[in-house]
Amino acid sequence: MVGCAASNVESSQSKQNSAFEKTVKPGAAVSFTHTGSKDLQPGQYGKVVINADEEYDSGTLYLTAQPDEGLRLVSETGGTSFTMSAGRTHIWELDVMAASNGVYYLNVFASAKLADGTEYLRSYAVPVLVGDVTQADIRNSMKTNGTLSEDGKSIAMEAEETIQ
Amino acid sequence: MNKWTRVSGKLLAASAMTLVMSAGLVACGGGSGGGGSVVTPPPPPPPPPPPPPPPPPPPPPASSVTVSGTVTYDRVPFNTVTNGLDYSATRQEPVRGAIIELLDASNAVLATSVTGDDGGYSFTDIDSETDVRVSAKAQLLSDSGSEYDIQVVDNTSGNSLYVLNGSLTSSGTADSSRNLNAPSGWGGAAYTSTRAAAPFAILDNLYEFVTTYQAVDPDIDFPALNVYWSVNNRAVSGDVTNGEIGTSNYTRFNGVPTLSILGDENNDTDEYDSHVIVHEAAHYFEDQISRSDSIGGSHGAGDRLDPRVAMGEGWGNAMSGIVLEDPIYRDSSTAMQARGFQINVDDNTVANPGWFSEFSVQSIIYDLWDNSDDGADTVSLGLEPIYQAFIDPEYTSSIATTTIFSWLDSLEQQPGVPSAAVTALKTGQTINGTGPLGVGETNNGGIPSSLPVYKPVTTDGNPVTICSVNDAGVSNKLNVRDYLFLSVPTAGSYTLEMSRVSGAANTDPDFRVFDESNTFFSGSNSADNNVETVTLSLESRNYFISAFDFNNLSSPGQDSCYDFTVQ
Repeated sequence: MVGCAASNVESSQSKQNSAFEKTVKPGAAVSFTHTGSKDLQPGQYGKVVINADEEYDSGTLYLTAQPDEGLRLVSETGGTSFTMSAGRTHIWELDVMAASNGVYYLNVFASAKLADGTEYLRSYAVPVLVGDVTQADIRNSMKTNGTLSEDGKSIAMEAEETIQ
Repeated sequence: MNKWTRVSGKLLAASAMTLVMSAGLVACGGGSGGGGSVVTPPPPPPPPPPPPPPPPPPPPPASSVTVSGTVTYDRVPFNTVTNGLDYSATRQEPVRGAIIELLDASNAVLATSVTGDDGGYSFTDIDSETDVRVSAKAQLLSDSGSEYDIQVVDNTSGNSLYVLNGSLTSSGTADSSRNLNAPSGWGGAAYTSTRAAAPFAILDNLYEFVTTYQAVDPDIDFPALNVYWSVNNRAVSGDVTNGEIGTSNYTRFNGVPTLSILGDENNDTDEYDSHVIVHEAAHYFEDQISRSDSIGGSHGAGDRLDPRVAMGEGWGNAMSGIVLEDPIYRDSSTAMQARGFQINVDDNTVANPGWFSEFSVQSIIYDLWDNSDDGADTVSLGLEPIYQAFIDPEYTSSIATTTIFSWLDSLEQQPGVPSAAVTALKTGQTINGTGPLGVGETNNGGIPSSLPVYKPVTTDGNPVTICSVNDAGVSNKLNVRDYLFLSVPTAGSYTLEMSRVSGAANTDPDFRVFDESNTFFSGSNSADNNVETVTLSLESRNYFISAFDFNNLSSPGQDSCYDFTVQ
């Protein structure tokens, strides 16, 4: 459950004393964790291992992966499926590669199709660090939706405006 | 000579007069003319016509003007077939209840107002010929009557507030209108410019949320709420300031109630997923205005959940349908936000129905509210008794934890709520326990050890068997935690012990003790193998105990049972 937002407090090793924790939006009862290659360098391929834990007794779990621009899958079709009656934890290994240093994300989508035909989705994003990436690099890779004010208190977004 | 001259002069004058009169008669359009006698004195000449009045001076420039207009945002609706977003159907909707400011060239605030239900605003007595800018904040604020302060901020930019700015333009010499629209930024196949509409789409859902409650309680106060939204907000847990929010959720950051909303294009964005936003806002309501004992965590259709989670999530789903007056919950995601899924919160056909099912809870609450009867639903209460049940002190301070049992027990205490109709809805979802503790419940969800819902334990040392199992999953699923109800007749020092009796060979029993209102009283969390013991000073009162095997809080989990004693 480390990878999903379901880090309810009693699951933490610190065993804090408040019952309240973070809620999670509805969707497929699937939670993700991942591990990845350390020190992945540009031009080298590395492994990403995705663990999908689901809570269903039947139906099919479909997983698809879509890399960010600049990151690509190696020898992978970007999709797989699992029978959900066969255990709750499903492991998917993918090889990825990027030509240049940077922070990339591998977008993972789960579709749980149940026996009655209903379908629920859950998304996940695996960060892939290629080359020597610092915290500053991560910050610099982030987008700003507008212009941050000098005092940092607001982000100005330009309106479509009609003046009469 | 003089006479002639005089007569002649008169003649001359008379002739001249005749000419003048003739001219005057002609000019008047009538008269016979006639030849006058030289002996009849003509009338005295009229005074000369007055000079024409001078043209009015041009009006002086107005010293003040009015700047008014409307503020809208792009609303991207759903494709109801794919449940993805339909950008081709984007429409403009009013920005309601938002703070709007008129700024000068140095960004000093000249005037402040709030947009109306039509997105309209008006600033009067503004200096003419002054450069001004209209700026709308992604903020709802009221400090009188029903109070609230809700801001949509960028958690990846120091919690800066989103604002929509018009141009810096002269106020002119006459009243003018300035209409602002926040564009979606969609370029046809991707977002190609600033997604200005997103914060206002979220804000409008929360405006609807606030006004829905105000309709049944005009004086309701909402504690300050932050909404974290960013284009960097991704579906991975980690550093929230880097956008790693896990998924859209409600929690508290440093004690501040906070909704976090996904914004990651081509993975999962939720700014237009109205039901998602209201669902999470319903958690905020529970946590801040009512009471929530939910432990959070992952959940989905057909799950058999810890009943506290089932209550919170079912309420969130139902409330999204109520606020938006649309029972179809939709959530878009994937590349180009083109796919999604839906949940009909009014659907009475539920996989694994019961007191542990969020879908059973949502079905019951939505049926209590709506006007259409279906299945076991013969009641239409509207929101007021539902709201009153949530804020009733009997509910918010009960020793019973927040489950469908305790909430329905509170609801049935509200005026005008027919118990028979409530019982019918419960029965329709295979729920038959009664009272706040669900006494007599027979639906065990396929897990016999989940019943009774609360195992009564006394201070005489008699063991009560409890279990922690992974049959419905781990973490927040049914019977991972077993519930105990402890009644202490006499204050004193008591030893509480949880000792393994069967199941997995190696267990890590832990338990937590709560008093009224789900206030944490004490816990026992050692890593001791197969036994947990703690001595507490207990008052003469009731306590709720949640007991579990720590191994069941993450996969794969295991089954084990214990004797629990208090003496």
